[in-house]
Amino acid sequence: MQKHSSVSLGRNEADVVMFQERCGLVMKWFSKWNPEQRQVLLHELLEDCTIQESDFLHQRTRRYVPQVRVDMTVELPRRLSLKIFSYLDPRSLCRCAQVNSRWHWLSEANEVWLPKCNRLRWLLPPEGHEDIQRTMRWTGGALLPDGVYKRLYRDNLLSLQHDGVALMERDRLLETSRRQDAQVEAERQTRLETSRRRQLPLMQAPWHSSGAAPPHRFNVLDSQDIQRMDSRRRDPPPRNTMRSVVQVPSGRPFRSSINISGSSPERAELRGTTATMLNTSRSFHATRALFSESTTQTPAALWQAASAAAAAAAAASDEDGNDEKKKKDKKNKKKDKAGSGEDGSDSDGGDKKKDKKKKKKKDKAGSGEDESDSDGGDKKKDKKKKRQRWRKPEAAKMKATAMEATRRRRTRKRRRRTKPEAAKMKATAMEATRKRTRRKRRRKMVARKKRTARARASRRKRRRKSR
Amino acid sequence: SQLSNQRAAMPNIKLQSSDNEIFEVELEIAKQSNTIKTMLEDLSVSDDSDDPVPLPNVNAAILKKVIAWCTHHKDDPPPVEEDEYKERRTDDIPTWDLEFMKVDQGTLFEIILASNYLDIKGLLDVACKTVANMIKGKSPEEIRKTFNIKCDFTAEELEQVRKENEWCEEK
Repeated sequence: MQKHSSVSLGRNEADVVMFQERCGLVMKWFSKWNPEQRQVLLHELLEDCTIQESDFLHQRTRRYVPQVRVDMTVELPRRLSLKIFSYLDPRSLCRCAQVNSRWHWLSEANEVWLPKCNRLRWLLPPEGHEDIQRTMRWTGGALLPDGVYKRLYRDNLLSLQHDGVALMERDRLLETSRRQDAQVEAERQTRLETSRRRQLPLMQAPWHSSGAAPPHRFNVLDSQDIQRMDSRRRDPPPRNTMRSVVQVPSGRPFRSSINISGSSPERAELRGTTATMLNTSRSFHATRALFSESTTQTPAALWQAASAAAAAAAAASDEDGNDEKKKKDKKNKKKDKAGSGEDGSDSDGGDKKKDKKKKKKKDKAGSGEDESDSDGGDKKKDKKKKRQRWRKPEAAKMKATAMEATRRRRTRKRRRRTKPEAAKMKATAMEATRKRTRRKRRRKMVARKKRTARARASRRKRRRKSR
Repeated sequence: SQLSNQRAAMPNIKLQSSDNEIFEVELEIAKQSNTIKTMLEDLSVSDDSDDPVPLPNVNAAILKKVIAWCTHHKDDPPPVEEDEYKERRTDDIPTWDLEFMKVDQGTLFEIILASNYLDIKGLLDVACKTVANMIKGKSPEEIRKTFNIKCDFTAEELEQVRKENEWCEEK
């Protein structure tokens, strides 16, 4: 109490110096005192300590003063004490029982003696031991009074001694059980060895293993899936469309609908997609292995990344296919244009000059057959328009080209419609005229016949009258 | 601090002792403790998080010892379930562990408590065997001296107990 009031442990130097001086003084006295006096002071100090300070003392003394002799049964819980006792032989246990009451209580425990009895096949008698029966009934057989198995062990041993077999028999029994233990241990070792050998291939990196697919639980495609796809590729499927379900680690099925119809390009596409999927899975494993140590991505995130990559690859391949189709279409159109040399010089836009030149050449060669007049007119108009267009700014130009494109499309349509229909119409017209003339002739003939018939009839009348 | 210097690639984990000292340990070594292992798995603590795992029942000196043992035994095969009725041997302690267990009894018992709390079966077994070896082959009086135990039996009780356990002594 006094030390609190005397020096307030201020921060100014005078206080610090005073505190150091007083500490030195105390240490000087302490060193000069005899052991009894020192102990008195230590006792006083300990009495004055707060809980935190005594805890600090406890930790410090623990670190510096080795606790050579400690009754561990006081420090350890019963279960751990019994674990230590379970390593002891019966004789040591019997000696432990004589140490003190706590050790007696611990060394009598059934947990320690039951395994020893069971190893020698010494079981509790079903009847007799009335007190045991009673407590077992009370506790439902779960708890036995302590010392039951110790007594069982002792009784059995003493009965052996009574029968004149003495301790040699016990030693023999123990020896046999030890041999059995050794045998069991050897079996366990061999089992462990075999299991370790069996596990060895799994220790390799998953992409180095000899299996068809990596034995990895985040596998995107199973080896079975690949085999199934192979078989599908070889054998024609029963239907046009089949769906393959690929199991995804998260449990929900990932449905990739793969159209396997008879046409070959689609099959090629399927092959491509499987290849990309395989590639992505492979790269997925590689990246996973690479980054599993440094970065900790969740498997779900990795899976998402992998699936995203696969989707991107699939989309890319699709686009490629579309592009190719477009190119093919364009080529076809060009061919059409070239083939139909008859449709004369169109009103061409400024963008496709090469095409225009080609067409002009072909036009010259192919000799524009019909609509030459109208085309000529168009040409003049086009020239005018062209002049105007060059003057116009870019936007107007683009608009003009677009309009022209639509117009060209329309004219082409019209022409396509007119060309065969004109012939048809001509034919029908000719047919009609032919029909008409035929009808006329027939009518004339009928009229002539009528006239002749009438003339005959009148002639007959005249003859009768004349008669 | 010495332990933390030698690792480079493996992910580390920080363990905080009861006296707030922090140890950085390889994750594989720390996972020998089933307590830490289940803690990490159940709480799904990410491996690279900087928060230390608090171990309020283990002080720094003992934690250092435990980490040293785990570092030496990191390549051991996982412990197998022991047959309960098998004879328990105490003479199969490896020499390194024998040297490791040459400590004062206070430390030894604290190691038992810590390995029990951290659920490191191998360390607990070795420590218990060491204590059992200290008891084995000693008379009751020698045991009392070894562990600084006071005999609380009266003279009559002592005689009774001695007679009770006479059957085990060789004649």
